[in-house]
Amino acid sequence: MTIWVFGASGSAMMENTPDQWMQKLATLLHTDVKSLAIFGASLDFNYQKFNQIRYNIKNKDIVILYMPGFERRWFFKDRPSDTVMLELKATPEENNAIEQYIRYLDNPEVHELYLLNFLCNVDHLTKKLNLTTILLNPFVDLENFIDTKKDLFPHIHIAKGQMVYITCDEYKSGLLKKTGNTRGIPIMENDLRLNHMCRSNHLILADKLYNYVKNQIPVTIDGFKENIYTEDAVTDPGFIEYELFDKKYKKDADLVLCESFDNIVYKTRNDA
Amino acid sequence: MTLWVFGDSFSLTTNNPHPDQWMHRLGKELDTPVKCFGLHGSSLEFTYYRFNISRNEIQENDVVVVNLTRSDRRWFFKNYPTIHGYVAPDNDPNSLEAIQQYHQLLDKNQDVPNTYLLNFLNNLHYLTKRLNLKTVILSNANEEHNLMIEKQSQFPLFSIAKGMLRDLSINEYKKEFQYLLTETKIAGAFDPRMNHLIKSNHVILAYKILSNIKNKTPINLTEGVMKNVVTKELLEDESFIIEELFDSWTQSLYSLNLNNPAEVNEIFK
Repeated sequence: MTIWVFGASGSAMMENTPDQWMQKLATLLHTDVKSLAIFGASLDFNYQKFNQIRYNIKNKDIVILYMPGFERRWFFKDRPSDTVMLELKATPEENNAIEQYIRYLDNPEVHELYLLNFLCNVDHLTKKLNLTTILLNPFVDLENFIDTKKDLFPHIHIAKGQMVYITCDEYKSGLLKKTGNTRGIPIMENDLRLNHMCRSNHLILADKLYNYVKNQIPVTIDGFKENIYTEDAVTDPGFIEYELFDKKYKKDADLVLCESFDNIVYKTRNDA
Repeated sequence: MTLWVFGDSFSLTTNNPHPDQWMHRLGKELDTPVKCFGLHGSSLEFTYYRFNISRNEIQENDVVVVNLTRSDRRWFFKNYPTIHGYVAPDNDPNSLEAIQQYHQLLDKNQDVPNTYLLNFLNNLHYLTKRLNLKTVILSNANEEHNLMIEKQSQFPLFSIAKGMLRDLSINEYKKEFQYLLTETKIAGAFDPRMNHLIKSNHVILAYKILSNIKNKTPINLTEGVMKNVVTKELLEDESFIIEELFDSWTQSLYSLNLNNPAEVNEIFK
């Protein structure tokens, strides 16, 4: 059995970090875990990776979709992490093209259509291979889409609530800086937390996922630790070492993740 | 049983169809109603959209024909699905500039539309298996055709036609007159042929698909079709117009303003 993880920064895996949620889950289930998530990835990237490895997914495997929001686009093939449209590391000409694309061309309905096709696709594989598939909804903007379409992918377990609340509620009240847009997404840059969560909540999430896999207890986004990220905590060595995984991932995470991702694809292709 | 058709101008019909148009000839031979949702100038995105609307109505043993259009078309303007990403409603200069910039600088990652297409095909293949459908895939353009050939082992239940509708269309013209198509860019509104095909090839296409459905005969659009027929003179010849260009049918269809959402809706009434 293998746990396959898709998504973006919320599910990108750092090697040899046993308490990271997906690695902890793998330990609890005595199984292997492969995360195809990378920081900043868009939905498009996840669709492509899923299609690339779908024939490596075996009977009764576990698939966890911790998908990014609709607002990202994978324009530049060799830069799949560079997808947040207004923050792309692009040339002035490309930035101008992106701004015009957003203003005049972007048709949200089409992107909902792509997500629906993808989830139906995953749903069929879930049924065919008797997989356990869990969708962790990251943001408020996917909530309405999932609510209205969920009958079309009935074999995917949809966690109740949005992951962004775990991320936000870790901050002590008042410390959280909002972006000012209506979606209530906190500013993630300079977020020192691995997958935007403290270690305590990594362990809780792993436990909740384990309970669903083993006992079909629905995954809900409640019961997580709140108000643990305070102004004092950021400078507390004990907090940094434990809750922030000693921030080691900040130094080399991108490199390690990209390398491990390539290895995963290479290895699984050869295995097939 | 119902015959479902999805695609672009190669599959466009009206609420007053000609019996020799390929999908209606096929429907007649199969003795089945035809539900045709091909739309002139539309993108693959529109095909996905229209298929998702119909998917719950598709029944066991139905026939589904999908004509895959070019993957470089984009459905940018929600109310204008026939505007496929190189022009803009009312020629709005800001939108035109944005489109030009998009194609020049942003539309460089073919992995993305290929992935969208694979997701769609996987869903269609699953439905084909679950409902025992007869599903036929016709491609228009190189990119999609090559992808279908490369991935056909993933979709063993599909009948994937050999050859492209685009080539079938172009090769109807004698070589020395193919420049006429370049001039009009096979833009539908200027191509005098219904679905870009002369009537003889409509009938041939219908029977090729029929033969595949009945006897699993592979569909080959490169052989046994009319080629090197059309000349400039023939396009002005009255009997040829009546016989091969559906005469007034084409004229009435293309007199509609297909960039007008209200008139597009009329087609589907």
